[in-house]
Amino acid sequence: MYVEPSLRTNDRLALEFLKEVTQFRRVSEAEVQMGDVQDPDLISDLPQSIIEIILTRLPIRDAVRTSILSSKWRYRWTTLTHLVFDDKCVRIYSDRPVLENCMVKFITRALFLHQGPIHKFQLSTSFLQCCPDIDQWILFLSRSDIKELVLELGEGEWFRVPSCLFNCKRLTRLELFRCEFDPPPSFKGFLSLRSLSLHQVLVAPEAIESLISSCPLLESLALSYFDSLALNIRAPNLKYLCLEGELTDICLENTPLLVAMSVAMYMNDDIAEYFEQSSSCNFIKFLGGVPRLERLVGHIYFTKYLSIGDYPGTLAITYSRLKIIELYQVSFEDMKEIRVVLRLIVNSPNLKELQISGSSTTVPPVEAPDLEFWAKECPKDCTFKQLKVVTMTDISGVPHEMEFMKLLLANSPVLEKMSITPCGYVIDPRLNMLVQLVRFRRASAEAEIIFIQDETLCIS
Amino acid sequence: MAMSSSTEILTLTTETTQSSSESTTETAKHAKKITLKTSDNQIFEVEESVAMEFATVKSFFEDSPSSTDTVPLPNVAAKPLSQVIEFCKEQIKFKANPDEAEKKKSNVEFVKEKTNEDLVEIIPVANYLEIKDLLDVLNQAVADRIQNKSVAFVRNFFGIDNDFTAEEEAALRQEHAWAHEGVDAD
Repeated sequence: MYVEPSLRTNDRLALEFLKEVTQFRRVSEAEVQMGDVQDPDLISDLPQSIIEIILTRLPIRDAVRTSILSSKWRYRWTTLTHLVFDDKCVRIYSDRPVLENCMVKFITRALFLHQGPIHKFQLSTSFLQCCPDIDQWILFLSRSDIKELVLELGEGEWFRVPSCLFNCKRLTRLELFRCEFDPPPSFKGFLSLRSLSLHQVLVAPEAIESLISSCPLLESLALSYFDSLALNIRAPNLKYLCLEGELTDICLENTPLLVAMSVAMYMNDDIAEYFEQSSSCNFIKFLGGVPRLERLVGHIYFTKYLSIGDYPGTLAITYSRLKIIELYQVSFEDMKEIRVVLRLIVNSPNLKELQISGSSTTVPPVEAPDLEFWAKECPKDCTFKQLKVVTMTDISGVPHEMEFMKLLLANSPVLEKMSITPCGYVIDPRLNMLVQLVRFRRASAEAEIIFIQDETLCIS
Repeated sequence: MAMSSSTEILTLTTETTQSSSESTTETAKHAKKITLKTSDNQIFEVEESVAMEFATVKSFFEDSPSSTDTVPLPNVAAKPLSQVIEFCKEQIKFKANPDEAEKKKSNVEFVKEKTNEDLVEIIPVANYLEIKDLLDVLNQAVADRIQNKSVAFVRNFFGIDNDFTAEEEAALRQEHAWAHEGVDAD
């Protein structure tokens, strides 16, 4: 992108300003003498919608400064419907209170001069924490038809969301970081909300559940950094789900339209213990009601989480739209986890891409691996008819990992590529892995197996 | 795009490769090419797929699908039109083979060697022809180029006439001192 290097320091800007103001009269006289030197003004007569797009892509400070360009431009910025304030709004002072004061002043004045509706307001700054001005800004926004609100404040004392936020009836997108969120009892939900993201937000679990259920149009939900989150998610229009945190008990009770999900779980001893005691089938609770799922991403501990509980034996749904599965840190030494993986891929007839990272250790297993397992667990006619790309990473070459790859190669008639990256600290078994891999039957004549070793590729 | 069957037969014949300076609107070989006429009376023959990127041209043909008329573009000069056509040709390639990274690179290249005047000239054209993708790229490029620049630079960039007196301007700067924080010595 062409960007002139920004050579100006603030001191030079100050000098520049003084120069411009003092030379102004001289410059305009010179122009008058030279006749019509100016290029035609092509831009000022463009429709406001175009000007607004350009101004919106400028940092807010530059947008405000356009008020000085000419009398036509004086108030053009004031009707911007998207306002984004961040750390670049103000000059950096080393004195923290001065900096905060500057920032507050800037935002307040900009809002005060603003005319018309504000559809998007974003405040992402590490310089501000909780301060009474924020409450007033939100009050102002709640009266300005606000549709998208993003608040990301600094670390420190968490900001407490004022009750006027819950009066923003037209909200379609809400994203909050590091605040306390406490809906009043009279709150009936955001009826137009489509996207909700709460990161490190202090809120009672019942409040989240009821918030989700009371937003009937909700399509996208992201919750992260929660402690011990147990939730029943009832969101009939939900399409995208992203969960990250200490999840103890998640049930997707009513999410029939879900298209993509990404789950990352933190584990500690308490949770592990909780897992041991639970008997309800996590797999069904999580994936039992998502027939339209197209993409599933499970980060660390996800397969372990899914393996908990008594599985009834048969799965009532087929993931006929599921095309991409990514599972990280799957332990191929835990039979239950392997069963979860098998269950997923066997019930996804249109799976195209599979990515698995292993997490087996180099400690030799206590018992001999039960290789009969594979013959028993896989349906006889199981074929992965659409599977084209398989990526296996962090592979240590334990027997079940090899059996899994063997299964995939033997049953994927349209496979194009299988790439295997052994885990870093495994050196000796690599040759052994390669020897085994070369022997495996391939259902697809086109399949390329790529074994990735450091920087070099061994392709066969 | 509705096409009558008679014109379909014509597409099987070899394509004409007329240079843009010639024009013959009488020949009926418009199955694949569409003729555009700019404000400075230059004629451009473009492939139908390219011309359909211009929403205004597209709706012209949606109303009269088998029209072989030259489409007049009274608000568009030849130079920006040729640049617009260049951009749309690239875009069509990406529609066939979507590749976000390559597309971004191509957009960057497109704006890179354009002067400020070029950019400012093409924007009204892209707006008139309603080519959304091009407008996005241009608007972003303009915003990037005027970011953090002095007021005089921005005026010059756009060719804006300053109609404030020195006193008015100084007063305005004072009023907006909070926005010029880096400018005023605090």
